[in-house]
Amino acid sequence: MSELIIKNLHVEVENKKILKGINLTVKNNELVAILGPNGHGKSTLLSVIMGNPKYKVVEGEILFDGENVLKMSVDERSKKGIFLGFQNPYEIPGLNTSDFYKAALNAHEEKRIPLFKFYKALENGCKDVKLDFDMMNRNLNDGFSGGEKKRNEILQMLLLNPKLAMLDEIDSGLDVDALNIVSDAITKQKEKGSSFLVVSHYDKFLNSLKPDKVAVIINGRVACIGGEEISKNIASFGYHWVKKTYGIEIEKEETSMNQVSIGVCATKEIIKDEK
Amino acid sequence: MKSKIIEVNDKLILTENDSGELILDLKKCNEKVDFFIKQNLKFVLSLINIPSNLALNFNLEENSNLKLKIINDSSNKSLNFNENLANSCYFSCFLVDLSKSNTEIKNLCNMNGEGSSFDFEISSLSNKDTVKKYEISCNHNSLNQNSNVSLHGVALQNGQIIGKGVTWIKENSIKSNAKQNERIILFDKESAGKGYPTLKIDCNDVKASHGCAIGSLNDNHLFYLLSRGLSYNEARKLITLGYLQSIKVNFNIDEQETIDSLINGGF
Repeated sequence: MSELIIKNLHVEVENKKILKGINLTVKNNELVAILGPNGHGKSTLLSVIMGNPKYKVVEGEILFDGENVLKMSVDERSKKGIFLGFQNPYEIPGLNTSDFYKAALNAHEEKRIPLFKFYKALENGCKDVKLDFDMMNRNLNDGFSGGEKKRNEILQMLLLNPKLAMLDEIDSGLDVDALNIVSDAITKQKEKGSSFLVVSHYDKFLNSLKPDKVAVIINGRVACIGGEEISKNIASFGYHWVKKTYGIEIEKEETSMNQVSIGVCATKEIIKDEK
Repeated sequence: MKSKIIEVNDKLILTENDSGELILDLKKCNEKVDFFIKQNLKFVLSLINIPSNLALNFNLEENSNLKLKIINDSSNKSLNFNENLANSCYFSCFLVDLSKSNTEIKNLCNMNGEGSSFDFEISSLSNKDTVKKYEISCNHNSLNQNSNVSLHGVALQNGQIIGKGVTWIKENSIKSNAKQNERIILFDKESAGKGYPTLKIDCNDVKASHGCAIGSLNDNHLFYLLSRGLSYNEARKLITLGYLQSIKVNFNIDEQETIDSLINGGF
């Protein structure tokens, strides 16, 4: 049994409030889809649950299986069964992919996994997500295409077998075939008993996953929560539907022209001085 | 097939009688040793038991190719490398410096012949108050020459790494291609890294680039590995191993195992 409970979560980064009171529960073996406009806190929420030190939790709590997640280190959270599939998986130069898998799997076991068993599991996992086994000899995500990186994230999920898998726009950059592979892998993992928090903008992908709940995050809060009808309405009418139905004004991302100025160092210095 | 071990005194002339891959034991060398590579020959040399305060001079005749491999794991070293390259020569040196003592290495390559190439790559770990200094310079003296100088360093526990060097593209060295790249990771506030990659260009129609990056571990990389259950120390070690090990492809399997165990012992 695993249950994630988020209560009144407030988070800020560099003194800017991103999450302003998130309340959300993911029950055992439930798949919760998260929708929302860009820059409203979806990825931040997943990062905070995983423990990214970039974000500061100023209020609220996160409980997983009744334990306070916020008191755990990032690796402890992983060992408790929380997994984050990254939107942009990092390329780590020089780090061999199979060495990385070996280290990650051993970190989750009390005894080191026998080499033969490890390679067999890796080989079978590669087949499941249709990744060439030879890619495991390359550096981690180095030179992988966008789709390969995402399938590599799914492969990590399959091998680590988490209780709660959080997938951040895992569908972006995937072609139709790759999308089906990822969707099948998630369905199979759910059959094994995992719970899911899935962030996506793609209606067809979410429909293929058949979410148990759909939550919409707007202005750093859960604006509405319900069934598949929410994602269908948003796909048809956009976030204007949320505004109209729930009377929520959607705040725009605060980006001044100065911050997005593309210039040489000298230009940036002048802008800084003018401030 | 095992490589042949040759004991060297003050001079070594490599001819077609010597096979391609050799291990040179330099323990009997004193002050300086001169190497001569005859034309059209290709060698891979592993240098072992290198005494300190030694000058190593390499003279490559036309169209010859020399690859040097050095794993430094012992006492303080102060070495001077000098190379003279004739037409269409290729000289490369791969130095893995994992010694727990101070190192000072200077290199000056004179690329005199047209179409010659020079490649010097260093992977260095400096820990426990050691100071590692590298000054790798080369002169482009003729047409169509290539040079590449690369330093990957990791400094921890008060370790220091200093990378210097001038790549000088002289007059009439048109169509030259030069690269200098220095990257140093600092593990703690007590460690230090300095990089001074310098280019001097005295002619047009050349390609040249130089860069230096010194900083702490990438927080995003660290978070990525931690999120997979690796402890902070394990994650840090894996990133560093990867960073230092990129040079490993230039060594054979036995040497690679030596490098692995030395890096592991360095933490």
